[in-house]
Amino acid sequence: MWKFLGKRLLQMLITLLLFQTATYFLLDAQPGDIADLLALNPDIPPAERDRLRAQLGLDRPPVERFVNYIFNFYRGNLGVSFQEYPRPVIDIIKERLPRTVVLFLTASLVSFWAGFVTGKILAWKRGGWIEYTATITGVTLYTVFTPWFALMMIWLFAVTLNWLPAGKFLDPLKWLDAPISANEVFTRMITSAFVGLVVMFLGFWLSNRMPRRSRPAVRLLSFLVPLGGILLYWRLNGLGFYAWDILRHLILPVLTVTLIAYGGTMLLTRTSMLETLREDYILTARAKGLPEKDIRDKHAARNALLPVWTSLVFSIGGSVSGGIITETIFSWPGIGLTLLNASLVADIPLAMGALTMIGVLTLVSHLVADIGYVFLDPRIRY
Amino acid sequence: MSKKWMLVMALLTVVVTVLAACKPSPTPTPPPTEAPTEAPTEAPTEAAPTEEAPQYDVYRIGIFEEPVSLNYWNYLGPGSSVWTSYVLTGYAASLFGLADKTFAFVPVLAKEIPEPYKEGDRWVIEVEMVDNAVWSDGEPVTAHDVVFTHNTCKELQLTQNWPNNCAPLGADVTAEALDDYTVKYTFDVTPSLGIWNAGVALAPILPEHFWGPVVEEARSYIEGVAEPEAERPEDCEAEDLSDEEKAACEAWAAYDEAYENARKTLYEADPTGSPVFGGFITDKWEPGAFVQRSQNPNYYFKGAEIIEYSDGTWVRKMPDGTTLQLYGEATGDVTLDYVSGPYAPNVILSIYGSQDSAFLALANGEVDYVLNPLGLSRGLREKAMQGEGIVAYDNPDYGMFYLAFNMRKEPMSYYEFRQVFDIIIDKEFVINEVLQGVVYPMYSTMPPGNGFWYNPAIEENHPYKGLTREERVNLAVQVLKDAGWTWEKEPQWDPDAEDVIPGEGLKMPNGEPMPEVTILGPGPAYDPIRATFNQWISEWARELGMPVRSELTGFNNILGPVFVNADFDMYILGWSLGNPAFPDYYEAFWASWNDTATSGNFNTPGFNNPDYDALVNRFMSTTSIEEARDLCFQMQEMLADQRPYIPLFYKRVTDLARDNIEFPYTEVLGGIEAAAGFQTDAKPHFR
Repeated sequence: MWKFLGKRLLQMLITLLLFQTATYFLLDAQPGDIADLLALNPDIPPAERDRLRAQLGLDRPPVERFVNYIFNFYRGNLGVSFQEYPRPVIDIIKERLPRTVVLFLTASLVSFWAGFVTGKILAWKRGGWIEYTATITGVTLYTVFTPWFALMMIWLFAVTLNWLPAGKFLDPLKWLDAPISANEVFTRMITSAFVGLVVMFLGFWLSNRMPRRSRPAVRLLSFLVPLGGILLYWRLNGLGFYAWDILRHLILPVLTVTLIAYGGTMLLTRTSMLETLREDYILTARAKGLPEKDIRDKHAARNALLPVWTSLVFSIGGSVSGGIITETIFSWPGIGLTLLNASLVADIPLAMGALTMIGVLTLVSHLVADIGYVFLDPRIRY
Repeated sequence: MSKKWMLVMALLTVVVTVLAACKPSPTPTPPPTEAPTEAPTEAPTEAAPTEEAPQYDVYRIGIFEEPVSLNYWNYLGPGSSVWTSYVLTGYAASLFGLADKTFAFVPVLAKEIPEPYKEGDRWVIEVEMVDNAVWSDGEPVTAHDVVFTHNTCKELQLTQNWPNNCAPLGADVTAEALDDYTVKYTFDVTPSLGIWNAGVALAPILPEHFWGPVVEEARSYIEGVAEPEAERPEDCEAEDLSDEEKAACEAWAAYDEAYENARKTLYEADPTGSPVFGGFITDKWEPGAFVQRSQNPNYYFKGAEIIEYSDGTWVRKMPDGTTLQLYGEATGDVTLDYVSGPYAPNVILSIYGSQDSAFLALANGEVDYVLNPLGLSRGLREKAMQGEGIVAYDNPDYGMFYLAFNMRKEPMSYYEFRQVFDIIIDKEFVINEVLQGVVYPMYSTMPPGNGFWYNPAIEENHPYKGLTREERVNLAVQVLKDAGWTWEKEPQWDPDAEDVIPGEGLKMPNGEPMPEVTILGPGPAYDPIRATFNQWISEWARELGMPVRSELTGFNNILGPVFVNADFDMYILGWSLGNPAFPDYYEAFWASWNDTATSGNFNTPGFNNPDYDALVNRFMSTTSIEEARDLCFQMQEMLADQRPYIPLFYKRVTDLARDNIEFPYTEVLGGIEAAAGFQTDAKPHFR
């Protein structure tokens, strides 16, 4: 396993370098540069424009700029943003990545859970009107045009029903006297949710090693304890008001992304389950007289999980880049929106920083998927 | 998972959500959205009168890009952006400014408008300042602040927009504080309108007591650094450099690095707590979400009454009774009368992800006004107007969209070729019939909205305005024939079909076939109006037998050929024209010494006309506004005749706002957006 990991890490490093090379030269090949855009002011004389170009390093040959960039990158220096000069790119990414992670991780996990559960039930109870309705709904959600769907969600829930905010991640009027920044609240939210999820996972894991009779109680506790802990933490630290404001703003974009992702997961699970249910070992399990629930959840669903797991892990990696449309429509200032704006104005260091982050996340996702297979399918060994 | 288990989970989720929703705010005071219940809900003009001073709501403005920085030095340097200007409006003080509607040159901190005089071989202007203006922290605004800002700009060789404030048009300007409230400027050249009125006099002033230590730190990088004696080599990367050139390169590199470090220190400095002069202090920036501004309790002009008259008179009455009256006897009608704020307790500039999101927020009541520098499409306007209580304010824009010719190349260098384009372009047809009147036709290089500088005779006497299509075609053919152009098959007007029978095989006066020419321009996704014009113009030209092709492309693809290499045939773009008080763009866009090909400046057509250059020289060096106006009229006439540009249209600026916002005035060149939404003087009545 360790040998496999070492080999994969080396492969990842080479892939990342190739990815960075390709993206850097593609970005650099765009006609015009940011100095041209910034200096379209007749009051700025040519000498000033030249100075700006030199200041941003744009007067150097592309290869030299690339070598400098890569050299600095692997020493932890991602450069400064041209557009927000002289702000370091790493600061901008640190500020915006958590927001994207919160939005898409939540949506991916919820859609995975809902899609997997409904997919396996639909495959199990095949042929009814529920299956047809759910399949049509799933196909519709899977193929829907994202910008249109997001705008419809805003129109319905924010404009017409007025239940939820239309966009942004907070209501400025509620933050006028906020004692800390929104990013700090975000970070605390991520940390508390992570701790809560770990406790919940451990509780569920523990319950599987307990007598069957006490499992429901342990599971209930492993759900209630972290939830109560999180609520208590936010009540006591006096920042719950702000966290709730962010949560309210999170509902609509998460719902939208979840619904779009849900269709795919549900259809994939259903298809995968249908194939698994035709396997001989399912017939054997039935012949042995095992309960239906055990056959479905332990024998069929677990084997059907592999492609769904792959899809989930890849979608988490890709969600950062896929969020451009969602983040723009919901005014959610994450990495996707940053990448879009940076690319439009040829802010190469910032665009490269965002793209590299996406590349790293995708590569890590592949690794996580491979490692996950070992746990999901005991036949797989590296 | 059992049904029972799922039910328990669902119930718990509901309970948790309800619990969280019921959680009260931790702040002891209610959030500002909770307006007093007795607040009027009708339109602003119908607000119930009260004995006490009226209270106002938070002014919520939507923007759709992040400011670059809150550091004012950076804002006028590399961090220059329109979005930053919105959040820093009113931040700095200045000695002079421009009147609200007439754009006349008026004092801000100066007591009066001074006259220049000669002292030895230098020109001098002494400015007496008011002695009771203070920064937001209560410290006085003094002549030392003025000198500090000027010297910082010069000593650190600040970049981008700064040189126009301390060394406009390359002039050598010194500043000295004669006492706490008197500044003495000296100039090596005549302090013309371009140098003084549109340059040094409008320069920002920043507080020395806050920025002094930062500037000291920045100065430490350049202490003892002298400009190298050797001339700066053209290319330090060349392989065949001599030892002397190598030494010069090293010396200049060290010099540049020292200054770069000094500037970076200033641009990177944390502006938190910096005192301001204007009505609002920018005190909080929540990246990606909003910028918060709070009232400046010490705003010098709070309560000042500004009055403008139709005869051009400008009056400012301060709350202490002092009055300043300029440019007339106040005999005409009152065209403007308002009392300066600030009124709103806070201004919130809420950041949205896109223009659509910002206008959706306006329609949805989340913001009161959207600062929109990009123009508003008809569809978006209609969508936003569906919101309750949205009011639209239309104003002419101070900009120009035009067709430019590369006069360095044939056939664009032929006078008649450009004249023919002027003949065949039916602006009224494209604008009224095709574009449904979304923009206005333009004939002079000065937009009509800038009444003082606009020469109305250009449009009134335009020889081709109002011609029918038949007349245009026949006239264009005649002009070309008279100039020696020939066809294998001459274009003709077909009266039965009411259309042109296109010409073929057009040859230039030198007998050569006319080469194919391209009109570069933005595509319909970026600007449908320019794209439409581009296609109609090329179609009309093709009817005359001219091989003209429209190339609709991305903005970045136009930048290189037009502004860097000057290698194009024709293009359609637009300009925002800057300071309406002094149109120095007549020098930037058409003076021969600003030819893009030779100087890298903005004379993209390569217009080279000694008579025009002479006019421009006089225009840029005069100190008389009347003479400058007369020269500007002459330049407009010459450009309308020579046609390096053919002006096509100017846009209408539409500002959308909620009806609870009472603006000091709504008819203004460039729209409310150009005044950054009147953050100080708008009255946001309670919603």
